[in-house]
Amino acid sequence: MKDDERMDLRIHELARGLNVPPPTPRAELWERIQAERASRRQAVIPLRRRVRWVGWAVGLAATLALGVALGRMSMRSEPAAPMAAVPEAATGVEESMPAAYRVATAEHLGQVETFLTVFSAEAPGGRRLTNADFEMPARQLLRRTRMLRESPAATNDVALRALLDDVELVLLQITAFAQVGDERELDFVEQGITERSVMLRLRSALPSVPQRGTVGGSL
Amino acid sequence: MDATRALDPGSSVLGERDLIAAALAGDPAAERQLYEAHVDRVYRLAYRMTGDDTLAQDCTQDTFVRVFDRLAEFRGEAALSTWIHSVATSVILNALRTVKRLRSREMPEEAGLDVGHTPHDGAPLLRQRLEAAIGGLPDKLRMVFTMHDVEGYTHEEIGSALGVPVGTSKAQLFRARARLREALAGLAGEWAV
Repeated sequence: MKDDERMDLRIHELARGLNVPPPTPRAELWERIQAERASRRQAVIPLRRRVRWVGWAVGLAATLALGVALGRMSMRSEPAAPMAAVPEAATGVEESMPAAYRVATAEHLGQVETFLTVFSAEAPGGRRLTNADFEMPARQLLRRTRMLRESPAATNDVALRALLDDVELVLLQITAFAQVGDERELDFVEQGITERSVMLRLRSALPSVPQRGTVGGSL
Repeated sequence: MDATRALDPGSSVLGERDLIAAALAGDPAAERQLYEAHVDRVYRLAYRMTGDDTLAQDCTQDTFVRVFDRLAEFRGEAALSTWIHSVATSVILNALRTVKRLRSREMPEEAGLDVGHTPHDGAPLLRQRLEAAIGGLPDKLRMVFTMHDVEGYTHEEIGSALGVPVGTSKAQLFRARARLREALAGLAGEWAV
């Protein structure tokens, strides 16, 4: 017997003695599986079904945003006193955040939301974009997410940090999906977005982090 | 174990198909039988890969939740066990990625991030080195090595589960073994045991 074969045999023998599984906790696992399935049945509408509404939602959101922007522009042309007198909603995100980070965070979260919306609508097998088209934007957003997570913007804000953590995971999964094109990876992306309510949290965070136009005056 | 044999694709395809049909029709007993037939192998693989009971249970749970959610998509072109294992391997690899990501954030200064293979202080040197070497393999190589050399899967099963050709499975096993031999090459004396 050759040395390599002898070593392989010994490795094989030893490896079988490592991480030896205990008896499968069948009943316990079955209960957990049933409980998880029951909770999922009660969960929100699956992402794929929601995608049909994304186009309408984006259009509606754009219309609303335009309306709000026009409203704010018209208010700015009037004396500034009323604006200064109205206290901003207490959100916890922007209160303690320097203005520059607010802008960066708002821009980034907005870009992530747009990206995830497009991704949900187009992947997999979208008519306009291929899976590979998502890799580069996902990587760029991933880099910015990590930078923001380590910045003062997230240091003192637990909720924002948690959101950036979850965004990072979803973007990581998207890069994996874009590389492999495996639908199973897509499941992880959808699961990541749905179970962590990423879209909902992004949309909730956006109004609380003023956009460039609204904080411009304070910079 | 009897249930596993009864549902082995080679011995009782018809029984398995009947069970799948019944499960799709909402029969909880059929779902339970399908679960019982496959849960051991899934859990064992998850445990071998993660080395952690909680994580192995999470992976097993996730696998079967997905399997039952998507049972209607199973076309019967391959054995159900193959399909379940393709889900399981994906879930396990994803769990390993997540754990490594979290650990790297918590302990960025640590060089080794071996998930599932923590050398035991009291173990002989060879065993310790082997654990470390296995833990240091890339996840996909470790998956192939664990499935084939530890849990006894065939290359056909591994290829189907991981979505790669049989030749790739063989090549990855070859690479994994070579890396392990290389890692243990300095312990020639220990091989004489």
